[in-house]
Amino acid sequence: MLLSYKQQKLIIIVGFLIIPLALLVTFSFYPAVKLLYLSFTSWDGLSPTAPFVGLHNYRIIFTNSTMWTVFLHNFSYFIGGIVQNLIALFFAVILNSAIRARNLWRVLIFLPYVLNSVAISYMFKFVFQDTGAFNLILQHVGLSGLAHSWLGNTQIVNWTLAFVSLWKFMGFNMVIYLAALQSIDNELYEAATLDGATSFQQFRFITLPNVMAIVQINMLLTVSGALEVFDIPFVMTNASPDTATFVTQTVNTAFTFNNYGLASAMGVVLLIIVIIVIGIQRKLLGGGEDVI
Amino acid sequence: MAKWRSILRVSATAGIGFALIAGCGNAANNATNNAGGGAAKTTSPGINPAQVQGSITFITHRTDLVANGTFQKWANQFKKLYPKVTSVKFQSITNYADDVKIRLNSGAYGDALMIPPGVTMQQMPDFFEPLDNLGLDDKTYFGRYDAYQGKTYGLASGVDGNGLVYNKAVFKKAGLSGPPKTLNEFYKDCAKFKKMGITPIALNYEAKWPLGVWDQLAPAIAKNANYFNTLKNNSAPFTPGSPIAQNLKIAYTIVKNGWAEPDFKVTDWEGSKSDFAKGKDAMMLLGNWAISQFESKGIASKNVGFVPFPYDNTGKHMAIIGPDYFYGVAKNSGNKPTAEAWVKFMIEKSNYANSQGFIPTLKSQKATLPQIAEFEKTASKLLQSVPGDSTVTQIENTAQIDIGGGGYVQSLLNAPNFNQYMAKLNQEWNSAKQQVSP
Repeated sequence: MLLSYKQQKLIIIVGFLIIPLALLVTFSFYPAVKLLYLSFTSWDGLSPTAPFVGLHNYRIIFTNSTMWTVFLHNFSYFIGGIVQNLIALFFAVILNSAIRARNLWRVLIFLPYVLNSVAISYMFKFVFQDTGAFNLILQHVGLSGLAHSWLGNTQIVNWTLAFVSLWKFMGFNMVIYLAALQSIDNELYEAATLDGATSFQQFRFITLPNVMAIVQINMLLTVSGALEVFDIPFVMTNASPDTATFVTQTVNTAFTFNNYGLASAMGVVLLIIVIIVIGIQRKLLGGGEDVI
Repeated sequence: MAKWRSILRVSATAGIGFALIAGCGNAANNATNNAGGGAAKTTSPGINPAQVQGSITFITHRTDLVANGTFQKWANQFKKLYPKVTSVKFQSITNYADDVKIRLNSGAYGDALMIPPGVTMQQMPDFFEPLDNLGLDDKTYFGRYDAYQGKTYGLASGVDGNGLVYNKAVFKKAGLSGPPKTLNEFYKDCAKFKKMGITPIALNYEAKWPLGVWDQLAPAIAKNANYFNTLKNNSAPFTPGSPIAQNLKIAYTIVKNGWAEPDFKVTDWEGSKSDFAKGKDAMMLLGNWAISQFESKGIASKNVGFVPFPYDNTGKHMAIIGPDYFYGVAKNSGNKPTAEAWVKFMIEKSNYANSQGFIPTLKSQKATLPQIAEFEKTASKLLQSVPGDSTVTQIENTAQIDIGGGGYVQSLLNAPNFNQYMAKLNQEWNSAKQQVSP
């Protein structure tokens, strides 16, 4: 049977797409729709039926203040994320210029991103224990006055955890900034140097505007990451009341308190919050091209 | 109560590396066999040996016992009893409670398994087979615990007592003649240990579940085994002075006076066990299941003592005993007679309970763990815990106050003012109560 070129093209496209689409629908779309459905029920995880309760779960979320105080903990990760972006941009600019062994530095900085998140959290848990590696090193170099209870002190613990997140993701941000920097035409810099611009002026007037769209993307990732952080507090401090985040609370609600309906509603609310925050951020950081 | 069991759940799974006293276990096993007065092949009512054949799959939370071959030894014993059985396959799950609940939904949960916490009594008939025909309901502790509409759906694998585990050598070093007999004596001992630089009592805040014991003495304080179930009619159960508030006050006092570990928010369970074995901690409030875990970390059995916790100053204290995981037979099992025979075998003939440091479920079997004798002697009465009322569980879940779970105790220990926090708990309990049963 001779198929026309158009038909062959269609068959090949469909043939390649059908498996990924099937997986996407099964493991992404269907659960998302089911989540939305469950958020309007009070399913307890075991009953064959899920009783419909309308907006009851959403009402609980918006009238219960304890749900929102945990966002204070997420805030630490947000600040950590901003610092992380600044440091990443700094390293990207430095490692974009011609310095010795710059590939080695790039690899070393990126390596934490490749490591498994749970393994990192577990490792840092032992590093930051009261008698752990970090305090020991401080003692050895004579800075024992700086030794704190990194995980026990209520004021410090969230910043400790934010640092672990920074350590992991800074390399990833840096790599993205590097790619953006390399797309800037070198002639612009040469022209600027000829005209007598200092390196800071070059950074401010050439680098930054061209990189702004990428900064936006990274900030989007940072903000949504900060709102959704789960593994670091869960592994390092078992999501204790000092360090609980919105997602650890959601998981608790579902699996400890058998309230899958409320937990699903919390998931939907988190999505709405992320959309709102990203919207605000886009307005503030200016339009830029629609890179997404 | 579902939450009581969830502690034991996590405790057992957290205890990897039990010292298996296989030799002594077998001796005790034979002794009870003979004492039972029956030959090994006595037919039990409802179990027809002719039907016990083929293979079954048993799902357990004891990853350590599957890995070190202990379960295989019991499987071999079982096969000798019922030669037509071809094999008993084992599946062990690390995060048992959560993972098995999901498997219950899927319909593929083996032939026999441990019943996960969180299954309400009304849901039992949907997932499990009645076990009344095993004839064990009245011969075991908690035989009617997992019962619904007159049928029993689960039989306990072992019985735990909740009490104070203490290091006898450390007590001797402090010049104390024995464990505290009153609450004031307990506080005095704590102050003494702190002066000596020894942690008086380890709380294990970080793991969360060890804090679950700090409201479990309330039924003893209230002298009512049914205390928790009465809370469904109580709109202010946490008022200071109430049994549960009294219990929580003890934990709060310990933290306020610095009698817990110096870094109590950070120490992990495994490290804490080693600290106890090394003599850095004097006491811990846990259950008898923890004793073999401590011994596996190097402390000699003669140095470990176990008594009921002195929750008041009367000098006489009740001890609460509760069931560990329950055995259940899957409703959609393809080989129910063999699965039921396996459950019966595990309770009656295998030395599971004694080798793991539990009190045996079968009332006729004696506990071999030496500390249990001390425990039972010191207790004025053994209070058997009762099944949790589903309304109370619903209120707990709605208020997110996990009685027996330890989560809300973590927040309590952070609170600057005890009475204020109790008032907050009352508020949350009351509003949840209105929601659940208006």
